[in-house]
Amino acid sequence: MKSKTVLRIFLFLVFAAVVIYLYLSYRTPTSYIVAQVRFPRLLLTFICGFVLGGVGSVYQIMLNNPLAEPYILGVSSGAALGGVTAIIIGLYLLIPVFAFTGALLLILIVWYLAQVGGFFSSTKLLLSGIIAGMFCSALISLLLYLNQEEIGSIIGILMGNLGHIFSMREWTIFRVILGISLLLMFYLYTLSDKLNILTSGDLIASSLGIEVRQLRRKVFIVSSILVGFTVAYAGIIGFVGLLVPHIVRMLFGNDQRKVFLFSSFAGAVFLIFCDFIAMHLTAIEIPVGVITAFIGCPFFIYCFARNR
Amino acid sequence: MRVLVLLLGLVLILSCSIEREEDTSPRYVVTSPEVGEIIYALQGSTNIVGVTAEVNYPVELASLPKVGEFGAVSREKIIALRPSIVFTSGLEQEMLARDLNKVGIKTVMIYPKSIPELLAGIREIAGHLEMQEKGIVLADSLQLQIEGLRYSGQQRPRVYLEIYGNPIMSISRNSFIGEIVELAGGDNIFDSLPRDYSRVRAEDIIDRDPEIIILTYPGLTPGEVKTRKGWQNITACLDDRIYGIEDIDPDIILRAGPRITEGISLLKRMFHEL
Repeated sequence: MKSKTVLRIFLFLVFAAVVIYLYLSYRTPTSYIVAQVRFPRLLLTFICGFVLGGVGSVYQIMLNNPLAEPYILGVSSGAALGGVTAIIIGLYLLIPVFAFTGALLLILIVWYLAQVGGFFSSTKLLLSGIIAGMFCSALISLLLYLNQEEIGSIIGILMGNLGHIFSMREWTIFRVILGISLLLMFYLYTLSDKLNILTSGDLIASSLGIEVRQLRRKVFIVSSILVGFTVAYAGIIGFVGLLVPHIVRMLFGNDQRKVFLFSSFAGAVFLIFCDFIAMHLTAIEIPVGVITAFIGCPFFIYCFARNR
Repeated sequence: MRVLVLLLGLVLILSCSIEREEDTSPRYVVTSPEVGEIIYALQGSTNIVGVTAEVNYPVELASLPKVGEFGAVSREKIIALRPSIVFTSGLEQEMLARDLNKVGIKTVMIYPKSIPELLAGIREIAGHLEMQEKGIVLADSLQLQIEGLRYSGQQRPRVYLEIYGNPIMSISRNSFIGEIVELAGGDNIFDSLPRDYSRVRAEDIIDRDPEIIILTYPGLTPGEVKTRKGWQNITACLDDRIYGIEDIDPDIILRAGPRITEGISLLKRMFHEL
């Protein structure tokens, strides 16, 4: 299929998902509710899926590891630790700020760890990320154990909660963040050609004139900031960033330009779809991370089996 | 020298095995704040030897030795206190009760989910304290007071009670606090939730337009509720009828204890007199 056709299909799917998401419910919502409650949530869901899908595809190439996903370098755990800290101090309204600060601190630590010993490699980056992430997870477990009355909020961060309630000021800030995120995503898209070359190995890439180390640093920092934003508002939503890029590669080949673009849109559609199910499947909202896993895993196995 | 050490050792062992003076008075450990309040109403703080950090009312109980927190009770500390009865709550504490039973400590689990259960709980506790008469008196007088406070008028304002802000959670009519809201003459907008305590959707709150909002957790002020996106047209926000923990101590409405009458009268005043 031509990539323009595919892109049109994706845009149509996004549109369809948006309409369904905004208007379909057991009772027709008033336009006030659509504009004030559902639309903000839709935008949050869209940007999260968009970022997670795209960043997932970039990480898998940058770390040269098919198991890589946006949370593998520990950014999510850093953000979650920040968020959980805010919850425990009782500063509910500052959860996103704390979470994002946590993410930034963790990026710095991981980056520093990856340089220790003088040289830098993707393996070291991966290991530092995993270790730092594990350490944060252990701290989260401890805080969770000591503060069981806050378990609801903490689960919201750990299993994904797209039902963030915006205050009016926060909404303005969020729109700015949304703009920045889209710009950063575009920047990642422009790096696609270089990432394509990186798939043939560090040595070949550098012999072709690519500053491999610098490229990794740019990608790492930009994508970490993006992921930090999503975790700050929506918590950790697993599987989107891991499964969507793989499915896209199975269907459309390995050109990173296409993979990035399609993964982003597919991630957004997928997450909107999952969140819709999470909201309406039962009377009580289910954490969206559960739905992404339930739908994503079987679909992944299906694609995998078909591709054989 | 060797003989001396041996003798010293012997003396040490013997001194350990000397019988402690047998104290026959009962020793109670209370791990649930509401049960603490009930016991205190029955007999004061006598014979209570340990409590959890959440048992904070009245002050006589708050100053007793601690055996941990509600969800993280130290088994060892309880056993060391040699209790005759441990009064526990439900939820995470069911496991605690089972563990203590294994080592032969008597436990009594009281976890009232409604007013009739609270009254029955009071009688049951009194039975274990061997003061049945007093228990019946307390339960009956509480029941009378509650009946006296029941709102019978027609004006029932729509009430949204938020027990948690992230994610937002409310209560059904089957929860203890839901019963209290109805009793005080409020019309709970989430009375038919599928679970006693459950997540709710912001759009449903806007849709059902509560006239009164009550927050029962720290960290959020009534003013901040008004700045939530899409909430500014809710009647409660327009009329400034949002109450936080400064206006109402959540313990008196969330705890199924004897102070519940205070809670009901406070809510009644909020609902019907502005």
